[in-house]
Amino acid sequence: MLKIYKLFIFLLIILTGSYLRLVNLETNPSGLYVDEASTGVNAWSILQTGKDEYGKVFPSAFRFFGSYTPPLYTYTTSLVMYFNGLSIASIRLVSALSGILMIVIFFHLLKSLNIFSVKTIFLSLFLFVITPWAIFYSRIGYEINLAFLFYSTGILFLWLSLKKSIYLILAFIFLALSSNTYHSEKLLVPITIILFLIIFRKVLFKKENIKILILSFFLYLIILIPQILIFFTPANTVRGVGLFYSSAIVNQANQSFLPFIFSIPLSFMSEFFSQYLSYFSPRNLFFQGDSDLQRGFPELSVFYWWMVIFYFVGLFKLFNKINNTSSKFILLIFFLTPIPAALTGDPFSTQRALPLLLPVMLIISLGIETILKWKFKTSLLIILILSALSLLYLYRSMAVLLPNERARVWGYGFRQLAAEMKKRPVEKFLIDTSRIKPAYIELAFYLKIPPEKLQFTVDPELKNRYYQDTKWNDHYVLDPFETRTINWEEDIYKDQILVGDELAVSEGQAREHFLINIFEIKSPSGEIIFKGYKTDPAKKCSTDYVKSKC
Amino acid sequence: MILVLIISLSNQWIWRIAQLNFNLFLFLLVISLVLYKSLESRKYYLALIILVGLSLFFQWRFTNFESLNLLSNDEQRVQTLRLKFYNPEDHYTRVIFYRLNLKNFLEGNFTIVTTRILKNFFETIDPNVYFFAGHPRERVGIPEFEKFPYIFALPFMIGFFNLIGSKKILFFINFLFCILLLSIIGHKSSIGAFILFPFFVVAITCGIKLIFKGVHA
Repeated sequence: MLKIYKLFIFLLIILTGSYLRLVNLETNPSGLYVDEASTGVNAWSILQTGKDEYGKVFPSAFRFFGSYTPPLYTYTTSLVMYFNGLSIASIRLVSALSGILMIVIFFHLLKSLNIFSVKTIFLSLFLFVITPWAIFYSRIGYEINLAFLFYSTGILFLWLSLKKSIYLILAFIFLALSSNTYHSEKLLVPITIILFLIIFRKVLFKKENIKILILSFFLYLIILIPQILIFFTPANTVRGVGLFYSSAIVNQANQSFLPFIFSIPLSFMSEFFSQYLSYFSPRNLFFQGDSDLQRGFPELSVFYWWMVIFYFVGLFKLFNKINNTSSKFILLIFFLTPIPAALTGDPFSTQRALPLLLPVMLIISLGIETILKWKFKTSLLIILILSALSLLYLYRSMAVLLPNERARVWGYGFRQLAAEMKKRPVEKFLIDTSRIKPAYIELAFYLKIPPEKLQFTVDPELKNRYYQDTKWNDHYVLDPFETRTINWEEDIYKDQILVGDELAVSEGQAREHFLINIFEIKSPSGEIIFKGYKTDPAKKCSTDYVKSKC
Repeated sequence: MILVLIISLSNQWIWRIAQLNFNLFLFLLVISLVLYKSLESRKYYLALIILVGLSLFFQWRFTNFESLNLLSNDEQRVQTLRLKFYNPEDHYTRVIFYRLNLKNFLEGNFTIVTTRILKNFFETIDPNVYFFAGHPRERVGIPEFEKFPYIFALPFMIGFFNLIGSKKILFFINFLFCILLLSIIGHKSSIGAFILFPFFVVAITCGIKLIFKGVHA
């Protein structure tokens, strides 16, 4: 009876989690973010032709806009598209399914740690299911959540390997897979493995485990071959170097009175530790969230504010029992997971630090366990009331504010722009890219431009220096549009439609060059996203005749 | 005691306070010493409570109090816009929101006041504010400066957790009172939340002592 009861609660939690991760996946977040669009277009291209948008056959890292993203998410999305076709839901589905599977992994981790009661396990699992950080990244169509699932699965098996060393093989396999999915894990996984082996060396380096260790390491290297092959190419280094705060360090060092040999390491330490500490700061974890509007729910942080109490209690408990194996293990992942993110200049990047969700949630669970032990009924009642209130605020943020207020940052408007293009099949469109993120990929998605056509527009030599040539050019000429900045000396003399945001064409420019506003695309909250102006070369030439252009 | 004095004087924060108000500088040094002594002996409890009470008063006087519920013009614009997003015609769930008047609860005074209190609270307990001048997330409209050298961050955390662990109830209660006040009045002051200065000094001192003990052992 008790077993059925537990199973029922578990299924109920899974159902709640699945609902929160899958509901309105196609339409919320409204629009399609450029990273999602490039994943979708490339996954579709791989499915149709076996090549990416640049014509490269099954790449080890996708070039996208020069980011060289590890490939696993795009390949798995191709599989989804085989069944479901090219759609926004198809792009986001792998993330959503990863989020659902993550609930199961978290449940097993809670159970296997052997420090939580059954009540705490279910309560913590429920809180994990409704945590904004876990929900948000389950609803976006790029690699972060899949990498998190693989990393967490690897972590679960690492923990299990302390009791049964055979699990090391599975741990190394999943950790290697996560390195093939997202940049952060490429750095995080090796340091996790090294420190895990050092801290738990007495258990792991027994004679009977050596064979398993060697086999695990061998499998790890085999799975990493795609990454190893491009390890010394610019494709591997460009992303890390680009995001590192080297200029901030040099600036700080220049202001110091110490010689460079001392000031550079000191400046690095100051910058690194400020970034690193910010990932543990309650202000960021429980109140403010990510500074990038695209990377979070409006008015919600990554955890609910009241969880801060359990965070502190859990931390306190953890440090008090620092000699326990489970405490050491949780602290290890707690201190390691923000390192890759702390090496980049973005303040509190929830995307790069997603693996931190796992140890913080375990610490919160430990806090819950402690408080439930102290006063069970009162604490449970308070937690349930706060959870209900949080769900109300989650609804406000996820269903009301996100699709309305964040539409612009999520690429809203390209669907409508594509519809305008379809309405005018003979017209040529020039998309001004001064402030608009890569427009060609969004339009390629919505207009369903055949992959071969997209591959044809780029320099055919590019696929030969795919991992060397990291510079990306936003000039695309595709039927029926071209993407680049407007050239005011040339483009007004051509018969076309100029498209840009509200700042692209001023009223004065429209009057001066006889541009006719033919459409406006607005976000759900009423902001203008695109304006389309039809040029009138005949009229322009009649008043301002330039021989070479008229 | 000497270590308390060294730490009290080896930071930018106290000298900024000294520049602004020398009496406050002396007062904070005294309160730091009394707080430290109170960890060893109960004799100082009454003195500590009076001093902390006084410091709460000084913090209130030195802070530009911000209203917890008054909205600026832009905030009013956003509020009006957000209320429109709950149009019952948009989705069937909005009908429930409309019937229960939940939109006014979610976008009204309760949310505004709690959000502002929480903002003050979380800014007060953000370690980056004290050790890295708020970097990498500097606050808008608040003069940020590095209150303690960042090498003190680790001893502070060790000391703070140890003080809680060793059940220094009075230290903890006083600290909570200060946080509570700052959560309500905010800390828009050129010298920051200075009532926390003694707690930082004592926690750092305890942390350094523990580190040395550990190294020695």
